[in-house]
Amino acid sequence: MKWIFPMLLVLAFAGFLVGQSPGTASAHLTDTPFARDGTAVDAWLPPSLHMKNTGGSDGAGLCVFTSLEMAAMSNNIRQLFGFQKFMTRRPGGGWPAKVNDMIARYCQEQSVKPPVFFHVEANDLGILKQALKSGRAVGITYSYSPTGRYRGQRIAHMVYLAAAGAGQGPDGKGWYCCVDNNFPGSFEWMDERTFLSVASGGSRLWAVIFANPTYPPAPTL
Amino acid sequence: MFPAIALILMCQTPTQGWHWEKHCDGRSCYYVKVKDTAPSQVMPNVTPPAVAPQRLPELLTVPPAPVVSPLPIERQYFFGVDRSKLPDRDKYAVGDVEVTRDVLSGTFQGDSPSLLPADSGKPHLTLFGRDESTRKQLETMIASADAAELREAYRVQVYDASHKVDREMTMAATLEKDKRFLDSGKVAVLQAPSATGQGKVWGALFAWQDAKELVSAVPKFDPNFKLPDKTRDSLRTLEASQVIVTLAVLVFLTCVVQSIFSNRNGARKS
Repeated sequence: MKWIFPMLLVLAFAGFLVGQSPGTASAHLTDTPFARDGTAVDAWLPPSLHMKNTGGSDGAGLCVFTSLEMAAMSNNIRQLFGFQKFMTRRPGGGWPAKVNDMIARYCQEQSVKPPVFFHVEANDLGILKQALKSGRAVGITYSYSPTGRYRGQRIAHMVYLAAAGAGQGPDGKGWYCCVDNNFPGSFEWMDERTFLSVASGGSRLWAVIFANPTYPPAPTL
Repeated sequence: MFPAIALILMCQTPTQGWHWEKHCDGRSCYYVKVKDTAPSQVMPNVTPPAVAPQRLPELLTVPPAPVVSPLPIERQYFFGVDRSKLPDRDKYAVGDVEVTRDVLSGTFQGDSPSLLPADSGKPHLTLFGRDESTRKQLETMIASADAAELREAYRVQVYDASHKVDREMTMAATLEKDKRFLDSGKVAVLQAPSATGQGKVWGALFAWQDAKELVSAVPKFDPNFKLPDKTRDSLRTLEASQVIVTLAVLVFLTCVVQSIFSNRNGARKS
């Protein structure tokens, strides 16, 4: 009988630990588009529109094209709706020249004008911040999960960047938020230093930015 | 359910050169297709090799990147980015046209309106059509020369209220309940800029004939809307002339009344 109280305490503590979302002070996961401190994402895309990564005709991943279709949805680029499905009939894997080629082909197939987009292949967070602040969506390379996904291992991946330098962040430089197409429905937040390491993978990051502006804000009266 | 899916995945014959691997992150497990490599290279549980950290280029806006040793490409889980085809130098491009960093940065600051208009501080003018064909009609209208003023003054966007993405991303779903929208099949909503206005709606228009009518009607919703100088001048002239005419009429009436009274007084005296 005298063990009941200590056991309850231990169970409560264990429950508290389990209830915490995985992460550290510099990185954490949320199920909503808000960081732990309440900072909101810059480029809103509701979890119901998050897409799951899939494979191309050779089984290789389509993370690049999945991220770009998510960015297209976020920025009303109607020419690229259905882009991932189009790519499932072609070999997977993505790099800048292939992105140019596939966007041109997909738009040609639909007889529509291709969207304007930019490539950044440099560790230049200033451009990413400018893009997000002006309401442009970004697909960005991602080399490991700072919250422990993929067992901390190195990956060759692209994700949707939902925030760059938003709010204060743990270091005063703002939060960065990635939406991983292998884990749709969740938001991975990290500080600037961690993000640069994640996106560059030790060399240099690659980002694709669309010129179309994002959706209007939710109406208020 | 999950074991069944896992079994199906495991039973699939992977493409030559690839194999399935189970992957758990503490929340869920899934299978990924991984390029075949030597066993020691497949699972990089080992500490990354002691490769000298690559010197990063001079950054313009951020401090140097933390030291993360680049891992050989064949040791990375492949989800779709082929890093071997990324350039080994800093590169900025508009589509397939390489540009300098300054050009791209300037583009985000409004130096190239044809590529990327500097519209982040502009109020939002959002047009909804009831279906895709109405959306296309609205898009054609807003792209016409008659609507150039609107494109210049506002961040103009056109949506289809019946499309899944537009319904999730905008107020489209609530429009179904508005009789005026159901009747006309279209609406133009003017909202304050995102950065300062927190989405405040300034006004909405449910019926207009053409772009010219929209151009003349929409700006009046804007709380900062002022009449153009030319119109204001003409109003001022009109007001002045009205005042002169009114004064003249008053003077004339006074004279008439005075003459009537003086005639009456003259008649009484006589």
